Amino acid sequence: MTSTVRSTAPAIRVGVIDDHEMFRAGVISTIKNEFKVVGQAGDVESAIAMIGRDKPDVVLLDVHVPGGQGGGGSEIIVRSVAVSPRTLYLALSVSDSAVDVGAVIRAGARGYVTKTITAEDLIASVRQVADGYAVFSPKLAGFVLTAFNRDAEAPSHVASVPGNVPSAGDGRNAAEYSADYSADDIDVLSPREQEVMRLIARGYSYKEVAAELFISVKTVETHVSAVLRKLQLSNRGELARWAAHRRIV
Amino acid sequence: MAQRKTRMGQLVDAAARASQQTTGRFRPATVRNVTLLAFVLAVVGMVWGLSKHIPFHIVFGFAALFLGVVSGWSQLSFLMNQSAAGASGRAARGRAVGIAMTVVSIVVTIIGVVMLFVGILSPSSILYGALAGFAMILAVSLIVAPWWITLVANLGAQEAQTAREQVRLDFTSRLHDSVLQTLALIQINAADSAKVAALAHAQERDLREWLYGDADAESTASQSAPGDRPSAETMGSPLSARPGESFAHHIKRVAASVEDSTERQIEVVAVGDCPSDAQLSPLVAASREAMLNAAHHGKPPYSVYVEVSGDLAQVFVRDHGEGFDTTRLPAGHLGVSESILGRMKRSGGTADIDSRRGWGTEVKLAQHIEGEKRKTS
Repeated sequence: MTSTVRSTAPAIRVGVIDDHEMFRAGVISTIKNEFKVVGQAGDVESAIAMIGRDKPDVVLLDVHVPGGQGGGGSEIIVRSVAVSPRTLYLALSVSDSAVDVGAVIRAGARGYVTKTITAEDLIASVRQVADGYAVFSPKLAGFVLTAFNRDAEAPSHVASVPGNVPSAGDGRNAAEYSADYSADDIDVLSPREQEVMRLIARGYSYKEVAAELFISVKTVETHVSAVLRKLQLSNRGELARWAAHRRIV
Repeated sequence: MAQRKTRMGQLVDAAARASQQTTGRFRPATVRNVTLLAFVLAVVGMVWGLSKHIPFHIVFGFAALFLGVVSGWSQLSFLMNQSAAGASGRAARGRAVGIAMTVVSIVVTIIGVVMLFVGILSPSSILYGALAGFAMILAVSLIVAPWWITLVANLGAQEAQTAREQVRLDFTSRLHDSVLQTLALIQINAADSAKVAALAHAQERDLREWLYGDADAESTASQSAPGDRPSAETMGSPLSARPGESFAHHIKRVAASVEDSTERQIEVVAVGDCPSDAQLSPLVAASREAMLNAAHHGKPPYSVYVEVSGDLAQVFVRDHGEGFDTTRLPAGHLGVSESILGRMKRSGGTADIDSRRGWGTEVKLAQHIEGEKRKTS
């Protein structure tokens, strides 16, 4: 049975990094039927060694991990890029602090989920990351909206749009979208991205967001990935401070 | 009761902050005043002495001696207060000023002593005397130095110890009042998994508030300490805003009370904020009704989104239940429609209930804020 499943699509190879052994074991037992758990680690140095050796597709990592230079999850991501450039990261955290979460996202994590997440949601999130998309929890969407709104108080085109009036001509597909994505826009969210973030913050799943805005789930994922990229590249005050906090700029 | 004890940590913090502020702001002014006062006294003394026909060099010598000693002693208290204020930015500057002042006071005192002896001794004897005095001071300070160094080192160690002790005290009282009590409750209710989950979640929420919440809002976290949980509803309505409480924090507190009474988990996300005042209270009340309704009739995940932007405050309450037909509200929902829709209409806000079969329900509430300037932080 399992062999037929594997032959159609190779199982996603996952690494788990958490210094809390019981929690790590719990995560592994949750996902081991769906994915191939190739490695685990409990501190920065052994995590980097594990990633370099096993080259997992997706690494689930805690924000706070001891060892190294004290940079935790962010340090692992930054230092592992050299040894395993194709590995993707999903932060798994109990921390609610915008600084912690922001820092690990800025370091390159593809998303962040809380440790109270249900098994199905965790599995779905790992899949999403493996497929190259970002994973946004309502809380992360809230952080993003706060971070992008705070410094530049309502630039002309970000005037608040209460409700979800779909703006004209936004039935664009992913390719069109990335075409007009220029470096100048990096410090602001487009109105459509704001709408997507706001719906996610309101507790909508990607599928529900898609239905609400009359766009495809793929387009929602593209918007979310674009927001993630802005989050990682923008030099806006709040975001830069997240990075500076962990000395990862 | 639990509430009073958890406040203790905050009182310690507040006291530490307050003492830091007073030393930072108050002391340097006092030192200046003391020096000025000494200067005035010295001038008055000189005028008095000259009027009594005492030789000038004696009068001047005594005045300089007085001035030097007083400013030297004022430095002693100055330095001590600075070190108590800890590693604040001003400490380094204060220390530099202190050293300069000490040097000046020593020079002034020496001038005073020399002036006193000018009339009695020849210049060469004064020089020899000064040399002998220097040699004596040098010898004595060499003997005293080890003792002095030990004293300073011990003082620093003791201060660090006191600071650690305070932090530990704060943590202990917090852990005792919240975590330990919750763990005890969990052991008692071990058979009731829903109750255990609710207890664990409530404790998590409190701890989060303490770890990541802003300092001003901190006091509210202890409000729902586990010991008080069964009576969370009765011990002061969550609907009334605390003085200085922000709107987002108020909604979070309301959500916490709904979580406690219904044993459901509600995720609250807030973007922007403003003070929670009387004009927003209908919005808070309607939000609470919406949350209660979602917790009772809907299914998880329950999400609450608060947004304050410009002059508009919005609250969205979402559940993933079966939904219901908003045009034909069953009997149980009539009260809700009154307490949400009616309430918002009367206060000049808007309310919209979006419910679809198999999709769940979202209550959208909005209220314009008048007069208040938006708080960005």
